Amino acid sequence: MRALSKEHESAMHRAEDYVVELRSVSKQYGETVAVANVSLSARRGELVCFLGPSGCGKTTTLRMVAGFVEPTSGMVSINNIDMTHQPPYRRDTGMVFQSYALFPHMTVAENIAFGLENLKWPRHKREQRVEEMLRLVELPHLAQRLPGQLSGGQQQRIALARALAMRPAVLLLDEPFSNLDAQLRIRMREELREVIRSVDVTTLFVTHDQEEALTMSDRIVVMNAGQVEQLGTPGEIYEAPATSFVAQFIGWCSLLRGTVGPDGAFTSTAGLRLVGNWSAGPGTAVIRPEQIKLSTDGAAGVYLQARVLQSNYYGGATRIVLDVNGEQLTMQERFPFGRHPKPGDLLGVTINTNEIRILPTNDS
Amino acid sequence: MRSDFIDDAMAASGALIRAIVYTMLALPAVLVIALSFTSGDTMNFPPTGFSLRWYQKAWENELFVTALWTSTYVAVLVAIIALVIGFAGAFAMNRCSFAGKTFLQGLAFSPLIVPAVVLGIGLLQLFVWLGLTQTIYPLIIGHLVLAVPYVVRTILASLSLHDQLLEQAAMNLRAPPLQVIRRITLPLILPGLLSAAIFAFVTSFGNVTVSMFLTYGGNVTLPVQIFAYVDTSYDPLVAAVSSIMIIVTLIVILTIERLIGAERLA
Repeated sequence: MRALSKEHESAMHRAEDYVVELRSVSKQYGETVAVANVSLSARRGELVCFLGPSGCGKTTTLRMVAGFVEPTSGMVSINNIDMTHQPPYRRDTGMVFQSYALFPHMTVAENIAFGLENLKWPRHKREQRVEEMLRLVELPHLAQRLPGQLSGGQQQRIALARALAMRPAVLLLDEPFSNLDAQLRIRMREELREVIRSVDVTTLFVTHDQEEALTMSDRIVVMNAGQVEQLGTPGEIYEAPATSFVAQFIGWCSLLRGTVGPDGAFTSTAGLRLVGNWSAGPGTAVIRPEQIKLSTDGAAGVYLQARVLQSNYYGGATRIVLDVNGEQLTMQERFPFGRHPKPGDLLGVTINTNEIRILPTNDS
Repeated sequence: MRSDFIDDAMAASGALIRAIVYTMLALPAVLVIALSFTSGDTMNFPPTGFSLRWYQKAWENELFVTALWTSTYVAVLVAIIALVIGFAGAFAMNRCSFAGKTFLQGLAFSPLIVPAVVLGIGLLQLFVWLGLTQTIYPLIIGHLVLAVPYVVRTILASLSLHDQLLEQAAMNLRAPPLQVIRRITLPLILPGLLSAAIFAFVTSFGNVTVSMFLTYGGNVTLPVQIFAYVDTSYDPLVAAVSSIMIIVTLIVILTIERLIGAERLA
């Protein structure tokens, strides 16, 4: 409680720095809690991502910033002005919808100019800005087309141009890539990030794709069942997951339940022992595939005999599920052509215990 | 082979039934139009000779010309007012939940349940009590009672197909609610609005049953005038006037359809 109010206080002091602030925002629909107690402060130009499985409350949170959903409690402020109960059209946000929501009866240029008209920009400034935005998204030749005549990728870029034309304080993106095919998705991701950097706009974006979140964001808010599981940089989220949910949701990992003894070594419930220097007590070990290596001796860590349970070829690497002393571990390795292990094979592996994290077990 | 034969037989009988239905629907109108060009003095088929004399007679008949004018402007007014009321009602029913919503939706089907004669008598009594029988209002209000439910249902159908996300996008682009309706909602449901307007116009323009009770000396609508005329005489003048009615209705429908088409092409 004290820590919270202290943080609150320091947040007040540095308030100038924040473009968007959510303070203990919650949303309930009857008995159902959609979002519980979410707090976040985003600085100018920062790209913050809400990541989580569907139904975790990430989209609801974004819609509370846009003003389409009114929080049950808490506060939303934009540019240090309390916007909690303001309608969407009084908020300085620009949103790109999952389905783009371009107006089908207006040309591309009219779509982009729509927000500027509502802001009462004079005609020549509007035209100039529309041209500028079309150049930014590299589609100046499409100004007079109707949205129905554009490809998915083009529609997405126009939706972005429309949202950014008003120079909003906050750009909101709701699963912006989910309607694009895999190849285009990666290209658009890079493009979008470049555009956002070039206009230096604070961006909140929602995704369920961890790769998208890791590559694009400055910070990630991992959400599950309406709660924030962890808030941190992509590196922190991946390397130092705060909960087993985060560990499992971001990247591949094996979770082993067990206890850390007084000597600092971890013993799993099945009896796999990892020597290290962790603090004593029950815990869950998070083991990433890259922490397990093929080995013939124990030079780089603990040497273990493992039996192959499953072997899946992914082209660049093979992902293998191993049985090590009764525990299932996943590793990833590139094998020479024709030497892929088959289920039942025996392999020698070492586990690099230096990088393994043990999460204190709080849920039984 | 066998199933092929059954398929063919079904297709053929389907086409035949369609042809019969269309013929039955169109035949009276075709007959009336054909008879209106007769040069004879009776309504006998086939018409004897070709002339426009009955059209000239209709044009010279002040009763019919006044009635055509009355019918037209009542129908136009009814269409406009029904559209305004209907849109407001449909919008509220589509977007909001309020007490009595189910009742209102039920009301939108009531003209199908209440016989028009009963409605006419009821309205007549109401307007007598209000002392409005010597005005045009009973006619307009009576036709609105008939037309608004159709309009509400047509617009409700358009609204339920309309993507509300576009309205949210507009709001995000700083458009206040009225601006959203004017620039996003209305243009996007325009085809629905126009077909609702056709419904309202045609309902008002062609109505006899309710109009009979609500017209007075100076405000007789064309269908009522035709009805009254046929009561006493039976000459091709009625055919000419009816043809004019058919043509006015067709012009309205085609004009509006062209408008919708043009909107879609733009």
